Amino acid sequence: MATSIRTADSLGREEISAAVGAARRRLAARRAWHWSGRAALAWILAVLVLTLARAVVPISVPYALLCGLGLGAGALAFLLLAVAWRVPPLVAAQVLDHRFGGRDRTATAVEILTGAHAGSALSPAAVADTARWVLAETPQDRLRWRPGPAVWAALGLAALTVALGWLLTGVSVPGTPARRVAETIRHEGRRIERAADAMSEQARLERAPVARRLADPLRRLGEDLQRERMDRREALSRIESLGRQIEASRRQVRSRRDQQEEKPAASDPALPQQLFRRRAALDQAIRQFQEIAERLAQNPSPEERRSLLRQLEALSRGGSEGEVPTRGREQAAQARRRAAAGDTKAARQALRQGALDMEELRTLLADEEGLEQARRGLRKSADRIARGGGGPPETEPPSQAAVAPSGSSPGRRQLQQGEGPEEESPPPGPNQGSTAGTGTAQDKQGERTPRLEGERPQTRIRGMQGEGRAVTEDLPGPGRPAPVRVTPGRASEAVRAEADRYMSRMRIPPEYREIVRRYFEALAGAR
Amino acid sequence: MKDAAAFRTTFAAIRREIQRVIVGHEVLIEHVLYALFSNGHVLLEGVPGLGKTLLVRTLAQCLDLRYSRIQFTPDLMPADIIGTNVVVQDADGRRYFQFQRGPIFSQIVLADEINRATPKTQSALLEAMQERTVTAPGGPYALEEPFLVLATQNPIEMEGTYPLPEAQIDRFIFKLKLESPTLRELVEIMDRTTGPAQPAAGVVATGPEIKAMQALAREVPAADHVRQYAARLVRATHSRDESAGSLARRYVRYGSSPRGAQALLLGARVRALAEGRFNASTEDIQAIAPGALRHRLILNFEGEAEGVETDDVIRSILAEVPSTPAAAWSP
Repeated sequence: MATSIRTADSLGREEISAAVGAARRRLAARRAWHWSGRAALAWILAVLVLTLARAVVPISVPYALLCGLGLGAGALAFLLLAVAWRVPPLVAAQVLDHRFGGRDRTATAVEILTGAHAGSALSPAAVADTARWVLAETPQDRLRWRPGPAVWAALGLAALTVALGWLLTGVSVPGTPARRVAETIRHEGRRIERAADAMSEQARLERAPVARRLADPLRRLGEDLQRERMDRREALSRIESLGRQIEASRRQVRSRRDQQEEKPAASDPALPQQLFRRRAALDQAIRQFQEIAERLAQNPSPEERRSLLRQLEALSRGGSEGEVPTRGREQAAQARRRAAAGDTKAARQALRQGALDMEELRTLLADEEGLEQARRGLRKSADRIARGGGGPPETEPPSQAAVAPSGSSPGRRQLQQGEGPEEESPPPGPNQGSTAGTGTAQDKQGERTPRLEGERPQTRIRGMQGEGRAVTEDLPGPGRPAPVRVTPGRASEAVRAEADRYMSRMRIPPEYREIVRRYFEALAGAR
Repeated sequence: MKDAAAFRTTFAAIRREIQRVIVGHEVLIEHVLYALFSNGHVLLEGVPGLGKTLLVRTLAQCLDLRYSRIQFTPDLMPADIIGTNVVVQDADGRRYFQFQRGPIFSQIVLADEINRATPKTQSALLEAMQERTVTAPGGPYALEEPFLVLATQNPIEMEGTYPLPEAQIDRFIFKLKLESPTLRELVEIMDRTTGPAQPAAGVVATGPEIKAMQALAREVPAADHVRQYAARLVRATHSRDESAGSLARRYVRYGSSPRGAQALLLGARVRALAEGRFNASTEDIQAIAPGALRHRLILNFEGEAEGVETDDVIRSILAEVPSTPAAAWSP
C-alpha cells in the first residue's frame, strides 16, 4: 500500500523523466544521422559533379575512393555527433508533443517539474495527466531511428556516382579540354605503339634480348591507350607502371654492363646518344679486332706485320679514344705478344675472344640504349598527356635530337638547331616593317609547316664495310630531317689500312671518325 | 482533479442543453462557453434569423443567472441601460431621489443589435464590461458576478447604424460569426420549431459554480512556448513589426491590443479544461485565435478596398508563425 500512496507529482516524475531521457538520446542520434547524412550527401554530390565535369575538363577524380571517404566521414561524424550532442530536456519534450500529438503536455510537465513554471492548483494534475499519456502512448518507443531521406539519397548518389564514373570514363564532349586530352592519349598511344615496333625491330637487328622482350608490353600499352576509354590519371598510371618496369630492367642491364667494364655500378641513366657513341666506338674496335685477325691470317708482309703490331699496341692501350674496354685491351695485348712471338694462330684466337667479349658488351649497350629510349619516350608521352595537349608545340630537346643511331653528324645537328622553335629571329634592322622588301625573315618565309611527330626508326648497318645489306625505310609525310645515308663504297685494304693509320695518329673525336673514314674512302674511290 | 472533472461535466452539460434548442453552430456555442468561463464578453455577428438572440436566451435558461435584454435603437440613452434617479415619495409624503437600476444590472445581458445605438449609448457599456461596475448618482455600483454581455449586430445593414468604437469592441473577448445553416441543419430547425412541442433548456449551473469554474480555468498551466506563441501571434498582427505576417504587413493598419493575447491564453486554458486536459496547448491557441483576434485588427484602405477580411489575415499569420521551436529538432 505504501507504494501506491504517491503524490501526483512523484507519480509522473519517473515516467516523464524516462520518456524525455529516451527522447533526448534518440533525438541526438537522429539529428546526428540527419546532419551527417546531409554532409555526406553534399560531399557525394560534389564528387558527382566532378565526375560529370570530367567529360568537359580533364580532371582525374578517384570517384569510388571519394565516395567511400564521404560515406566513411559521414558515419564517423554521426558517431561523434550522436555522443556529443546534448538535447535540452524541454526541447525533447516539445518534440515528443509535436510528433505524437501530446498537445504540449510533456513540455508543460517538464517546466513544472524543473521549476521553470510557477506552480498552480492544476500543476500536479497536469503532471499526472502527462505521465498517463506517456505510459499509454509510449512515444519514446515510437521515436524510431531510421535513416532519413538524405542518407538514402547519399547512398543512391554514391552508387550513381560510381556507376557514372565507370560509364563516363574516357567520354568527353567535343571541343572541350577533356576531348583534347583524350585525343592526346590516343595520339600518344599510336606513338608508343610505333616506338614499340621500332624498338622491337632494332632489338632484333642488334640482338638485344631485354629490349626485345619489353617491346611487347610497350606495344600493348600503346594499343590499350588507343583502344580503351581511359582517363588521364589511368593513362599516366599505366605509363608510369611500365616506365618503372623498364627502368628496373635498364638498371639491371647497366649493372651487368658496369660489371663487364669493371666499373663500379652506376644507376644514373646515360643519354641514348652517349650509349650510341659508345656502341659505335665499340663496333669500330670489334671491327679492328676482326680486321687485324683476318690480316694476320693472310700472311702479312713484315712491314704490314709491323703495322698490325702497332695497331695492336694502340688497341692494348685502349685505342685512340679509349674505346676498347679493359678485357679487350688485355686480349689485344696478349694478341700483340703472340703475334710478336710469331704465334699468329694464338694471336688470332686472342683477338677473336676479345671481339666476342666486346660483342657481349655491345649487346648490353644496345639493350640499355633501347630501354633508355623507351623510358624517355614514355616520359615524353606522359608529359604530353599530363599537359593535356593544350600546351605549345612539342620541341625536341637537344639531348633527344641526337638519339638517332647515325644522327651524330654535326651537319644534322646544325640543321635541327636551325629549324627548332627556339630559333632566334634575326635582330630587327632599320626600316623594318610592312613595306615591301623590309619585312622580317619570318614574314618572308611564312609560318613553319606542322610536324607530324613521326618517330624515325633507328636503323644502322652492321657488319664489315661493304658487306651486308643496306636498310632503308620510307617515312610518310615530311618527317624530320635526317642525315643522308651513303652507301658504303668499296675501298682497297691498303687504303683502309692507311686511313686507319692516319686516323689512329690523329686525335679525331669518335663522332667524326666515321665521317673522316668515309672521306678518305671517297677520295680513294675518286682516284 | 475532481474540480476539473466537474468542469468538464458541467461544460458538456451546458453545451448539450443549448444544443437541444440551437441546431448546429457547435463551434460558436463552444466559443460562447469559452467566453463565459473566461469571464469575457462576446460580440455575435450574423444576418437576421440565424438564432443569435435565441442562443443568448437559451444560455441564460441553462444558467441560473439573472438575464436581461436591451434592444439597442438610435434613441436609446445611456440611462436606459444603466438606470437613473427617479423621484420617490415615501409613506410620509416625503420625496427623494432613488437610483433605479437599469437592465445592465443583470448577469447575462443581451445587447441586441448594439450597433443601432449611438456611440454615446454604446459607451455606457464600457465601464460595466471592463470594471464590472456602474458609476451613477449614489454609486458606484458593483455588478454581480458572473457578468456576461452578449452583443449582437447585423453586418449587412449599414444604414442607421453606428459602428462600435475601437475601445468598445476591444472589450469583447471574442467576436463570433454565425454562418447560415446547412441543408440538414435547416431541416432540423424546421422540425424543432414547427411541431407541437418547443424544446426548452434546463438549468445546469448556478452563479457560484460558474465563478468557481472561471477561477479553475485560470489555474490551467501553460508552457512557456505556448505563451510565447500567443504573444508572437499578436505581434505578427502589427504591420510594422518585423515578425508581421505577409498579409498583415500589407493590409493591416492597427494590430491587436494586449487584450488579444489575454483572450488567446484565457480561451486556450478554458478549451483545454473543457477537453479534459490540464495544460493549454498551441492547438488551443490556434483554435481560439480567429474569434479572439478578428475584431482587433483594423485594416488599412488597401485592405478594405480589396475586400480582405481579418480572418484571411489571421489565417495567414497562423500559417506563417511557427507553433513550436521544437519543429526544427524534429527532422
